[in-house]
Amino acid sequence: MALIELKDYALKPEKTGKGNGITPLTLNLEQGVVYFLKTDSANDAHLFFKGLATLAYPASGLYTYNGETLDFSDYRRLLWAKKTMGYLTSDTALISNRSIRENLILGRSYFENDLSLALDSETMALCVTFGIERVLDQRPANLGVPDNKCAMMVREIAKKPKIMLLEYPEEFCLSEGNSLEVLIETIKKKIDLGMTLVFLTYEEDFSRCFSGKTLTISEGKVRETVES
Amino acid sequence: MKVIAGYTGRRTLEFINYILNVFAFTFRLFELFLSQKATGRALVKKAVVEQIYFTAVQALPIITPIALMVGTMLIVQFTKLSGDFDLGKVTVVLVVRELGPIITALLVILRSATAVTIEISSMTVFNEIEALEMAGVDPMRILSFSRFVGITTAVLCLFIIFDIVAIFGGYVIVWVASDVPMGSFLTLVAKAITGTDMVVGLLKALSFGVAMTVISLYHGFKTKKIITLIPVSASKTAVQSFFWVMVINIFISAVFYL
Repeated sequence: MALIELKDYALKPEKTGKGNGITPLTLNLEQGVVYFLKTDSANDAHLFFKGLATLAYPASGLYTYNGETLDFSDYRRLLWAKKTMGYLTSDTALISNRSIRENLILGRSYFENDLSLALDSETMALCVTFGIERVLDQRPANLGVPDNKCAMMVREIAKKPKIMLLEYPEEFCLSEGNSLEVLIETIKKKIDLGMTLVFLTYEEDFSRCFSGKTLTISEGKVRETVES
Repeated sequence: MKVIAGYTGRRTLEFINYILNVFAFTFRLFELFLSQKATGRALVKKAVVEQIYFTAVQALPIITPIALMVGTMLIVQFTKLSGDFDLGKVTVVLVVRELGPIITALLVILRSATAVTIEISSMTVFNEIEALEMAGVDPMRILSFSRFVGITTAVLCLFIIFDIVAIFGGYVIVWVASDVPMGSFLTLVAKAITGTDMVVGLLKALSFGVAMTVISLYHGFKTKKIITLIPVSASKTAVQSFFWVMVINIFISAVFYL
């Protein structure tokens, strides 16, 4: 079953003027499938990630997510879809005026009107796995880049996303120890539960661990190939 | 000639665009105010209380001495002229109708409106607004609405505090520290103040609160993703907030007193 269906979907290049944009494409991203992104332009790949996350709006075409065609006329009509997407890219951020704990429970506080600061057992287990349980009550500005990156990973994984968009996962695994291996294991478990993964990496250790399809972006054109 | 006409046309269109955008933004905030959605209510309430604390409570140590100084200075000067003017009426005209709302607004612009713009601009530049959206959270509701309600309420409260401290505090200081003849100053003020004066003062404070919050939030969200544009946005907020506060002040005074 297709989680994402793109029909004649195109993206304009970002205002920085870098990259080619994405020329009209028709593509289905299946549920529980791994997609490895290969590209000649990091900017186009980043734009494609933003497009999939509905942060970049299409210049033309249709985007159907989980069976529902998305309405890009108002950002509020996209929030339900964004909520179920894990987004770990170079521009992923934490909310700086909230502690790591508050960042992790933000969705729950908002949707359940629950202001308690206790983390659920699954999120706490992820915090322990990625080694951020001691810094939960610190604000991002008081922490180093590795801890902040780990907190972002935990936040996105704890969302129980239907799709994980992962740009250079190695950049999120900067802390000492085996966090890349931990991330791989965690994501594999999520894929077994039906999560779709789209990733771009220079780290062969990461790409070697997953099998699936390859999406190649070349001069703004996206093509799908099957790899073993 | 064509260059001048082109420049004038562009500037005019930019100004009209700016006014329309600000009004659309204000409309969205009022729409949120009226919609009373249950989602996120607890977080919004918390943020409103925090904003009132930052804008009103933390400003008390600054606004109280300013109000005392203004009140004392005016009362000392007015008592010298008490034979020529109605002391109570002059105090009401200056403190309640004009200086109270304006000085309160100026203080909130300097302390809070610019701070809100810097905070929201930083969140825009560092992709934190996108992070909120990716959590499924509506940034307008959680950031804008709470600040809109919080700052507007705070301005209203600070205006009332300013008037009370300026009139009563100023009176007490002059009475204790000098031998200036005060006569029945408070009775004169009580006789001079009318319901319209109170309504106008409150209406001005409310309008100023709405205007400065909308302008500060608008510039915060509109900041492009370039870090050097954050101080530019803060500066625009300070200048434009004060300008529109003065325009609204004149408009309300004209409607009620001309």
